[in-house]
Amino acid sequence: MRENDEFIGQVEDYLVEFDGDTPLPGRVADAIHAELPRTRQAKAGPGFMRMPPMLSTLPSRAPLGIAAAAVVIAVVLGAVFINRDNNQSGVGGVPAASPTPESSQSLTTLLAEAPGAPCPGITDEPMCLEPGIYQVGGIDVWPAIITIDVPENWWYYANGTGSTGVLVQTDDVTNGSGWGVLFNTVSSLANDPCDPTAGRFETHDHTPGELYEVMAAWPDFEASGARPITINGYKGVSFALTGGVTEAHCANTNMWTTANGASLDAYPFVSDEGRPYQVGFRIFDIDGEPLIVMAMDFPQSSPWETGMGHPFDANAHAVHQVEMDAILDSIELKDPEGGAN
Amino acid sequence: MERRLVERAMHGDEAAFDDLVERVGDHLHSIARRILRDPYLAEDATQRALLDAWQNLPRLRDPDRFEAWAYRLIVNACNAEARRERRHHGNLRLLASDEPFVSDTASRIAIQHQLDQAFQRLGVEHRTVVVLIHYVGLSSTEAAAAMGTPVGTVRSRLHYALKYLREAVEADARLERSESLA
Repeated sequence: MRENDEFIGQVEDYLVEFDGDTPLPGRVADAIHAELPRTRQAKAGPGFMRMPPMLSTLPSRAPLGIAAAAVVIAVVLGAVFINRDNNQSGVGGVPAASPTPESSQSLTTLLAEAPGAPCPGITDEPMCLEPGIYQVGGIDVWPAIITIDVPENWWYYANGTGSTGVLVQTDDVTNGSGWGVLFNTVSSLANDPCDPTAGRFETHDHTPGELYEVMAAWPDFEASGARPITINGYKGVSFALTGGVTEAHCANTNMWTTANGASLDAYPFVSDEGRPYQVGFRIFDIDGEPLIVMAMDFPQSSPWETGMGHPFDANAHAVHQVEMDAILDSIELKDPEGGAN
Repeated sequence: MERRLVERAMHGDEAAFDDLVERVGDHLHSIARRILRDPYLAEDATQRALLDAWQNLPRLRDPDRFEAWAYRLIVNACNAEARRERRHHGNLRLLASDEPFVSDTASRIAIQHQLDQAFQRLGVEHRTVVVLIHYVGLSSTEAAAAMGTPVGTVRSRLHYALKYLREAVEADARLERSESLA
């Protein structure tokens, strides 16, 4: 034990003395200060449109404000990163247009910056996105440039950096639908979304087929319809998962961890009632990094809607499934480095 | 951390947040330096974490938990930086450490050098747990909260990391002894 204590002491001495005194450089503090006026803070309380509780690591159930802000920061920081050269940290610079290939990513408007528009038949308030083609994420953690064609009556949604998408808008514009398409960076998959002790599967350099095998083996879910798919040369696998467990059964839910280290819970599979829901997954291999597209492929009311007190409707989203299929068909993937894939 | 300062920053007071950056920036940066072992990545991670803090401060439930929350943000930012670096360069950039080491009579310096060599070979998740517990001084539970992992994972990673460091130092020492005898 004494020998061990001595070794621990040596480790601690090493850590204290590593690199000597390393205060935060003034240029970094200056860069942070310069970004504050341009970086909106999240709303303190529930926003005007609450969203399903997908990210369990957020301080509370995630409304739109914090999520949207997270994507904005990804864009801002991404712009800083791409201005860095080999010898100089980019943190001191102000984000600006760059002549590097990455700058082409900003040609399409980001979902986070998309203009609002009325929702026909629902509200004249600008609670929906202006229909059009948008880029899903920023350039920070995303392995590819992703664009989608958004129809009317859909709205932007983000869980945080590396997990974002669009949800359909319904009559309850205050609370939102919890039904739509979500794009995800994924650094590790749970071996069992309901059992944190079952371990994790690190996704880096694993094929979509290997990731599918992990998800298909999740104990409480049933996989079906697996088939190979390709978009813009990026190969992947498409399949559906069906499952429905109660919160009592799956208290510590986690499906995967995003590239930004946030934990995504097993919505919509976990609910008060434990009703089964089917979700369509598309996993793509982007140069060794996975991109998982998750689509609420069920017609009935979402667990979020029933949780908000709406009566269960077996066909609440039947018409929206057609719109969602069109969104999925519109997905375009591009190399973030600007090269041909 | 002064609660009032955090509360003012939570309500959008930029000057208060500047003060917070001044108070925690050095510490977060030093953590990032030790986890990432790259000055540029550490600066980027610190900037990312602090801007995340500014953005999400209004959602912090308990201002007294600001410091623990900041640890979580810097660990997440380090993970993101390490991951980004792996994607672009295949591996972490490491600080230059291959310069010839002149044997010193002070074994402490030799051990520090051996620890440095071994520490840079650890993965970022293992370096993180060692830094949080043996540099920052967090408990296993606090480190688990900062890393977003179960306490058991923290303990197993710490066990592995220390075992690896010890074995690496001992192996280096044996090698140096055999070279000096040859």
